[in-house]
Amino acid sequence: MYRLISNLLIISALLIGAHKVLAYENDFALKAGFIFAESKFNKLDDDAPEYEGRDETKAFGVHTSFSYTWKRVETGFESRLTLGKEAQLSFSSQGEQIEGKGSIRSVDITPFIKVRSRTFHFPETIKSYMETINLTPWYAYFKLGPSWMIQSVNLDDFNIDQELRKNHKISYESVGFSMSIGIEEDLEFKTLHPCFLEVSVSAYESYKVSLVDTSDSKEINILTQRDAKQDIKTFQLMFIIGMTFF
Amino acid sequence: MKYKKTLSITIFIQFLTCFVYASETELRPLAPETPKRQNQFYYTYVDREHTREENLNNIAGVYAVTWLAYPLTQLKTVKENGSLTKYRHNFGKIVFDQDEPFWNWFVHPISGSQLFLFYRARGYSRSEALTMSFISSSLFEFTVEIYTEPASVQDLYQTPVLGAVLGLGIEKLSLYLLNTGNVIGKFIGHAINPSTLLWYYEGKVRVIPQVAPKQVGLNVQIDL
Repeated sequence: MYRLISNLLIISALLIGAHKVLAYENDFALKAGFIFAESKFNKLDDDAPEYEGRDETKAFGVHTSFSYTWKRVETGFESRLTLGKEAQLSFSSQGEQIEGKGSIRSVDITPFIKVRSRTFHFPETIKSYMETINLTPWYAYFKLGPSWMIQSVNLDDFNIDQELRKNHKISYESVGFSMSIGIEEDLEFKTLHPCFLEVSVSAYESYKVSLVDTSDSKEINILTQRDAKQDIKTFQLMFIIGMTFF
Repeated sequence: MKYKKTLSITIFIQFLTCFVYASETELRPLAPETPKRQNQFYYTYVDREHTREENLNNIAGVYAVTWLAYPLTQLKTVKENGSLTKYRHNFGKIVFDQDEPFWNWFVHPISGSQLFLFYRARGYSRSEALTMSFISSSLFEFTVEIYTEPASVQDLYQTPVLGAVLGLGIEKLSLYLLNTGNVIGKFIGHAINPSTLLWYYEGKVRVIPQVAPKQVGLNVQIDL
């Protein structure tokens, strides 16, 4: 994964020194794609021995963004929904260590600003060798923005406040920062559905935790809610593949 | 390690497929035209410009419907959890809701998709329909739903955006089904996209075949 990121960084650097921008401008765009994510919990800047050796959790999800595009700058909102694979989870809450088998769902909302490079056109000599391949122009981009996230930890059963809980979830609300680099097809019209590949890193720190009774999915019952500054720190690495829908 | 390698290769192959032309076979002479059902109407979407008055009327219409639809569909919640005190307390407040995925990832995108399809039926382009859906769902979140709960970040974003993604899929599928001309296709097409059945839908095109000696044509009529 890290080698792939370094290769993408090299490609992006090559793209930055290329030709003029081609793509559609002064228009809204809705983009969507698929996500593969790896998350680390409590590892952001924490070197406490009890956190060592903890597994990363892997997740799959959906990415959407709605943005307005100018010539080189794009701004809008994006959201990433991820569903974690079931794993052995361990984290602290109110100084209490909670462990159990379960999964983590997360949703984030990120207002972003995105800056594009110039367009990279493949040289004609390369195109002539690859006649059957559609070598469209591409550009690289860099995107960043503050991010707010809610993580729901669904454990099969767990002990909290000296009580065994079933059909409960713990939700952490966190705030952080997200930064992405990527490449996107530089097509004149968005109706040609330009596709993109993106690598995104985000870091979060929790500010509120809620214990929620989920036994009735229609009527959510929040049992307790309190400040949870630094209870959980999350570092997420995401690989996103997507396209412009309209 | 093996898992990561397999994933990297899969992503790389996926990346390469972005470059491949959709069709690499030579074009053959067109096959003789296959017989098709005679349809009285052709279903499509006709994008057009709207005046400010039309925009305000559409937003006001949807807003009025949400005031009626919310208590009717959530009667128990409104009775048990709603109050004017809560309305005042929740006004201007915005939170992350704790709802289960069934609501946030299923119910809200479905309602958002129907909102998107309403605006599409009124002649808005896809981007405009999404923008109008965003305005309508924000009005609902900030001034209607606060009678029982504060406005939610997820709903504000996901209702219009995931709704538009889903709405686009429903739009394409429903048009395909409606234009097949068969009864089942039309029934399912109207069921998944009810706006196509209602009076405000602007994309229903009447197709009248015109046959004269040595001349064959189609008279297309659009009601706007």
